[in-house]
This record gives sequence, structure tokens and C-alpha cells, in this order.
Amino acid sequence: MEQSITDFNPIYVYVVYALTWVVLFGYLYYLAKKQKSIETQLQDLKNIIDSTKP
Amino acid sequence: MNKSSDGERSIGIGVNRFTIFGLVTFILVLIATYMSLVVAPLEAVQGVHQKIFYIHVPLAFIAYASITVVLIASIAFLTTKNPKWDRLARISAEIGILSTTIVLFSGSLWGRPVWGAWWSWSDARLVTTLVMWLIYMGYLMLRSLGGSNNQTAKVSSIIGILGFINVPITYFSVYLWTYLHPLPTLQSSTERPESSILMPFLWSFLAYSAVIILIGIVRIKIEKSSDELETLKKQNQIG
Repeated sequence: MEQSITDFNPIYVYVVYALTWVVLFGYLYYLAKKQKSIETQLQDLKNIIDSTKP
Repeated sequence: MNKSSDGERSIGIGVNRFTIFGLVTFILVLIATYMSLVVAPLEAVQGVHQKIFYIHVPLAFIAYASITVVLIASIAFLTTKNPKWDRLARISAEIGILSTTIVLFSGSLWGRPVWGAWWSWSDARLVTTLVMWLIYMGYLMLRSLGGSNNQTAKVSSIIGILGFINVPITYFSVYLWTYLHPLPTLQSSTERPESSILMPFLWSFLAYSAVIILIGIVRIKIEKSSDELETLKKQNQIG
């Protein structure tokens, strides 16, 4: 029996799009959190250095 | 144009250019997804599964471009010894791995309904792409385990240059050893791609390139902040 294109289950397409979004935006979110943490550490260190200056 | 305390350029309403670029990128991804899933026509043979093309192919191009940047930056580092090139090579390798990972899983999820197989060890394109992923994973593992010394940077640069040999092999593998993976749709010499396929492809390429540029900008910011933190710690003998 010939298969019609409407018979195709689109689940693979949805999984690819969802996974791509999760990987790209998840990685971007992870990097943004890391950047914020380093910025906070940097600012804290600058504050400590400033407070110890005579 | 003002400059805020963290060095960001502001457009004067408290919103920096990075935030605007992030918002534009998100809108581009939404447009690209709409163009790919709704506007692009259903392909006669593969049906809805062909829509994976609009993620798989742009990210494959981005992966090749990232690895080309690794090659150029590695040569520039070995020539000039400027650590900026080494950082660029490392960031590009990370982006290359990220893109290749998406290419591999999207290809596998495309292959299952169309070829009836998740993977084939007989297909040269699949195997050489996996080899490319393994080479740059090795590159990043070496960077991670070897620390930030000059010797690690030198060895990594050599791997970055030699590893590139696999890129043209991967690209031309479909012409040399045809098995399951088809020839490039957009570069076929016999027929031009229809605009109904080309436009969603170009939107996808633009959108995912913008996401990758955004990731690259954040990675560069992390590198700069980490360097500044380390320098301050050394100057003040902390940690």
C-alpha cells in the first residue's frame, strides 16, 4: 500500500526542534549564569581591594 | 550612547545593545521556525520529515565555519604567540562541538523515519562527521585537562590545524562514497532550489547564526572577566 505524506508522524520533527532549542538556549542560559557569577566575584574583589586602600 | 558600569554600551534607555541583540535573535528564531514548519512546503517523498533540513543544514554550515575559525586562529596563535588567537580558537571549537552535536542528533532523528535507521557505520558522511566531533572533543578535553599554560596552547593549536584535514573529507564524502546521505540539495548542479525552500533555509541560517554569535559574545565576555579576575587575584596575592 502506498504511503501518503499525511501518514507521516511528525514526532521526529518536533523532537529535533525542541532539542535544538533546549541545547542552544540552555547553553546560552548556562553561560549567562556563569558570566554573572564571575562578574559578581570580580565586583566583590574590587570592593575588597578598594576598602583596604589607605 | 552611554557606557554603563559593566562596560556595556547603552542606547540611553537603560537597555544595552547585547539585550537588544538577544531579543532580535529570539524573534529571528521564532520567524525561522514559522517559516520552516508552516510556510515551507511538504516535500513529496519525505513529507514532514524534510523540515528537519532547516535545522540540520544551517547548523552543519555553522559547524564547518566554526572549525575553519579554529584553523585560522590556531595558525595565527602559532605565528604571533598572541593569547587572543588561542582564546578565539578555544571558543570556536566549543561552538563547533555544539553545532556538530545538533547536526548529529538531528541527522539521526531524520534518518530513522526516512532511511529506517538511526545510524549507519557504512555511510561516510555520518562516520566522518562523528570523527570531526571526536577530534574537537579531544581538543577541548586536552584544553580542560592541560590547564592554561603555553605548552597546552601550542599542542592544542597543532591539533586544531591537523584536525581540520577531516573537514573537507567530511564535506566531499557524499560525492566520493555515496551510500545513505544524499547530495547537497542547495548546490545540486542539475536543478536550482525552489524559493519556497530557499527562503525558510535562509531565515533559519540567519537565526541560528545569530544564536551562535550571541553564544560567542557571552563566551568572550566570560574569558575577559575571568582574565581580569585572575590578574586582580595575582596582583593582590589572593587565592
